[in-house]
Amino acid sequence: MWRAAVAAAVFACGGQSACSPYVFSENIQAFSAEMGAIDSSYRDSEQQIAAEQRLSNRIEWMRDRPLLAIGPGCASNATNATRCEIISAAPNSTAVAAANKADIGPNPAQPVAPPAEDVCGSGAGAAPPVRTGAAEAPAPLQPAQLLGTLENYTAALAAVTKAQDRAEFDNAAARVSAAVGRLVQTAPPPYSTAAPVAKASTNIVLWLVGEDLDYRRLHELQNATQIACEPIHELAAALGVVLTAERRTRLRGLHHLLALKIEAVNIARSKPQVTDQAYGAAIDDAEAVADAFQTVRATDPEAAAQALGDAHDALVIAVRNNDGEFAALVANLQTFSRRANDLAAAAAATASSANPSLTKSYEETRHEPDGHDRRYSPEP
Amino acid sequence: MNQTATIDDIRRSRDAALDALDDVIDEIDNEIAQTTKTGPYLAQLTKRYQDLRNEYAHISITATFAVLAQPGVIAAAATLTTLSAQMQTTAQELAAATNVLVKTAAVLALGQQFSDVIANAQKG
Repeated sequence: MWRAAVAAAVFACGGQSACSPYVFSENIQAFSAEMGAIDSSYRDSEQQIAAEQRLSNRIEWMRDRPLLAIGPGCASNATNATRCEIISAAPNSTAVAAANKADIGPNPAQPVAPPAEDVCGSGAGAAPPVRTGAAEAPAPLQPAQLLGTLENYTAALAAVTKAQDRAEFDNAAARVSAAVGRLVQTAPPPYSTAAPVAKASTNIVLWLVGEDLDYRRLHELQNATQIACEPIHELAAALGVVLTAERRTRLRGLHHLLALKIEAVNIARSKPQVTDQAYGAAIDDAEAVADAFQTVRATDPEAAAQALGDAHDALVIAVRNNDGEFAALVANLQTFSRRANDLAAAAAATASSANPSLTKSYEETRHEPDGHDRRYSPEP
Repeated sequence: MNQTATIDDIRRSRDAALDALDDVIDEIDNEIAQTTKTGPYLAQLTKRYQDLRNEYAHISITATFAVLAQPGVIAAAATLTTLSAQMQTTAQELAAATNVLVKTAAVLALGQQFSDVIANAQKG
């Protein structure tokens, strides 16, 4: 009976590597880690955008000293969707109403890219449909939900292929086997003579259990990557839109901050009381913003989203073929990793805070006695 | 594929609108950088900047939410969420089997101790 069971297991798996989901463990861990890096980069960039907006406000408010007010996000019953911010009480823009009419519909003048090779189609018939319930409740996603969904999926891939789980199972199985052997050995004859047989039979049963669990994990991996294939394309395209929107917003904010910093340098330039040290510090401030701008502009979030889809396609093929040929998967993961690292570097790039010396020069200038036009010396 | 084309359309349309705004706002930023005296002109520049920036933000947000509200995107996210839960369940099965084995080993060790005690008692 054991022999039949062992033969069936070996036949089903067709050999050690063919039945193991753990050969994908390292690559999938990398895949999951890079997805996590993109998620954290997105959140870090959100914080940077808010910090840089505050820095711009600070410089402008020190320059203009407008009447300030409590922002709409500070209402006690407001949701956290709108941050609580101090705002200028100057009359609001009327351009927003015009922007409501902005055309965001399809642009027929733009050609649509030809469809890429259909990785998801082949073998898709083997994948059973998954009931999602989306038809009943099509609530719109938030950007954070999109990122969270992708991150949860890659984390689940990593969990299915976690080699450490199998190692722990083997350790536990070895302890059981040893305990069985010792227990039977301590029994009185004739039971003690059966100790080697009992230990061996326990080993086989445990091995079969382990193989069965491995097979189910591998099957889950094959099934899941196939089912996720097309949804990943869909979500990668959406992710590209979300990430590029954030990049553009940040670049816009950094450009304005750069303008204000250069304005500050130009003001310092014409003020005799500003020391060389303060003037140099103002230049350094502006240079730091220019560096941050350059770092963010060098990123290509669209390419990062595309790399996510490509890496997953390579995973689908590697898992489907399960022949130990991972070259394409590794190459695509490396590209994905580079793109994700670019985004992380951009999220970490910071513009320096307002220079205290120069701030002082603003204030000194502001209190000059000659001034209705209370600010700065005229250009030479 | 049709859904992806729709996302592409929204993105392209957004980018065309924001590219045009970028050009204008860049010019205003450059003018602000060169203007070292406050007064009506700088105030006007700043006001114009804020107006355009609001429009910029509005277009960007509208495009993002239009994409995230696409039925195909919502369905794809729901599929992945369901899959992820199934995969985590499967992954936990091995961990559960490991826990059973650990408990089994502990019980067997107790059984061995019991046998040892009985054997010693019989000798005594």
